[in-house]
Amino acid sequence: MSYCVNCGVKLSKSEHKCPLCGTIVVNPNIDINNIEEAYPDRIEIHNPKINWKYLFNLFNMFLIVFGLTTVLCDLFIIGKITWSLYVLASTAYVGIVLFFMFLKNKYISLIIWLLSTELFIFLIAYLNNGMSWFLYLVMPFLFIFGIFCLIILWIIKRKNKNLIRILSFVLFFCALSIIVIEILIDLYNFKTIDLYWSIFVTLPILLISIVFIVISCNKKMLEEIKQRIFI
Amino acid sequence: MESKEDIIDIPKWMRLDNAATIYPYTITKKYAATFRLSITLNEKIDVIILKKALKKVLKRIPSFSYRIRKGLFWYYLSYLEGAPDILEDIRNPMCNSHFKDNKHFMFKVRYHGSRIAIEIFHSLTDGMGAITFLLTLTSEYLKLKYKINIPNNSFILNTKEKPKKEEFEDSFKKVARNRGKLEKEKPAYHVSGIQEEGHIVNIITGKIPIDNLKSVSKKYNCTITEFLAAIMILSIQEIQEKEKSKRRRNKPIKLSIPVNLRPFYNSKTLRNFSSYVNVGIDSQYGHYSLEEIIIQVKNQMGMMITEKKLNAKLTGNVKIENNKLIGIIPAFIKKYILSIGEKMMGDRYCSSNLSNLGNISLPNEMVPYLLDMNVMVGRSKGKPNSAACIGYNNNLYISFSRKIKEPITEKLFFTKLVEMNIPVEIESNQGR
Repeated sequence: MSYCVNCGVKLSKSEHKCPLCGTIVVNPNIDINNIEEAYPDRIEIHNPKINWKYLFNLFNMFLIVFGLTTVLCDLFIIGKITWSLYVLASTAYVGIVLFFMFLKNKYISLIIWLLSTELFIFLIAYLNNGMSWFLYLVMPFLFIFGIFCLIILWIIKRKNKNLIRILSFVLFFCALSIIVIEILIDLYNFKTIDLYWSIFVTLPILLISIVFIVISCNKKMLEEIKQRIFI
Repeated sequence: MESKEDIIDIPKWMRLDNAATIYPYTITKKYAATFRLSITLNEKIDVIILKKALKKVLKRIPSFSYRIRKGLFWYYLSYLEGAPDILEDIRNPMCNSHFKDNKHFMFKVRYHGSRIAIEIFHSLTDGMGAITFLLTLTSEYLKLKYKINIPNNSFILNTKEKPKKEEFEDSFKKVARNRGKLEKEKPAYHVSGIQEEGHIVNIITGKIPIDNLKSVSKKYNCTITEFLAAIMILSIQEIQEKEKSKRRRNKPIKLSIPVNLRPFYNSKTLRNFSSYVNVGIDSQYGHYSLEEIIIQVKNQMGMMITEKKLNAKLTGNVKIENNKLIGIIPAFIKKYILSIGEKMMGDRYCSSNLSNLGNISLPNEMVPYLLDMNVMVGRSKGKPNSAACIGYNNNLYISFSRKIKEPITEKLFFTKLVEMNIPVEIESNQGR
């Protein structure tokens, strides 16, 4: 039997340090490896099991029934497929996005989401004679946004995670995307490039991004900031 | 000889008793009002025999074979066939509140080496009901294993008898009168610290010789509960005095002490039938010495633990439950209202709690097989720590369970006892 030299309490055989003050107890007469601990090592954590596959299948079934019902209504009332095509396209879009959202490979999920969104908007543009805004504005916007998301995903998935550096990269790509967006709008509206508002937005973002990169490279400063702003 | 009128046909469902009503509404992913009782035998537990014993005990005490279900307006208890599995013990007891993992039973039976432990959700019963269940289970286990004869007493029920009506009764409703009163209180001081993750509870158990406690309590002219409560308040006062914030320094320190109501009304129920009193000191008036704290605790307990005061409190609670306006609120809305009410009124008004199940005396035939007993309360929702104690074989086992990292209250509490020449033996779940 050992006593804590700091607290004066007697310690049970299973205790090799005082639970009250953390003082290590050294008793050469006791082999702690042969003593059963007061509590086993196992920790129980509740992990609720949700059958996501079943839930998605159920939801997709609901979408299919919903889509088919609208098509049938359209056929019975008007005699041909008109407004129900929008409903059908929307349900198909939601179904595809949800189905591929939880793939293990997030890059593929993102690419499928991008392609299905392009296709969905293309259909709306085609049905409403809007191919010009689709080809020169929406398609490039979505393409840029997709590339932006892929780069961010790649940065987040890297092993050495440095939150401030990630944030600086995100801001940097934000700034780049804003410039490209203004170029696209200018080309669509005036057929020339005249950068104006994007500069006012980009400059402060770029400045903050540079500050973040500098901070992320300085470990001492990073530690100091962490100390002061921890939650 | 039991008469037919005493025997009960096991109801398929029942209303929750008055004290149990609040608990289902306060369950969250990280919290359920749970407590644990354990006994250590002199040799390793045989799980197969324990399983047989459990099945026999559940037939005698069927009030434990109920699951909680949500009705349109209130939660209720629904009867369950069978028995829960016997589980291996864990390092973080009372942290998993998902009854579905336990065949919906609201209690778990665990074993580790030579220890049997039961974890119980408070909607099922209180400490007295739980100790009756555990000791009946242990005696049945010993009878099956060693073929010995153990006489029955108030804690050890005869498993050959049928369950009795009085064991199922909601005694709160039976004894409630017309006039009730719920006292208004001030929010109490809480020791601060770094919160552990939701699935972690830190347990420290102290084994203290009752003779030493008795002689010190006698010196201060108080009971052991009053003395332990005073030492706990003194320890918390020491922490509070170091607080930088004046507002926190001036908050009262109060301990919630559960009171068993069975002796007041001669009740034999195995469901909840206990109340509580909040006793303590008002720190804004300066430093209190141990003698002053003991006088405060003793007088406050004397004032509050009277049949009339306790009845006024329980009647007040029964009146709230019987209020038709509250009754017609659907259960899913009630959950939000009652959980807010619990946050505003429950843990806010006490700094910690100290449950004393008293000194358990067992038949001589059983004593050689039982080494020790323990009781502990699960993680509190609002309070940083809770304490519970039980006496057995001239030792008092007091367990602190806390949800903060720092064992600051426990350290002060136990070292104060050591300074008074009361030996303390410590055990914990913190591992190597």
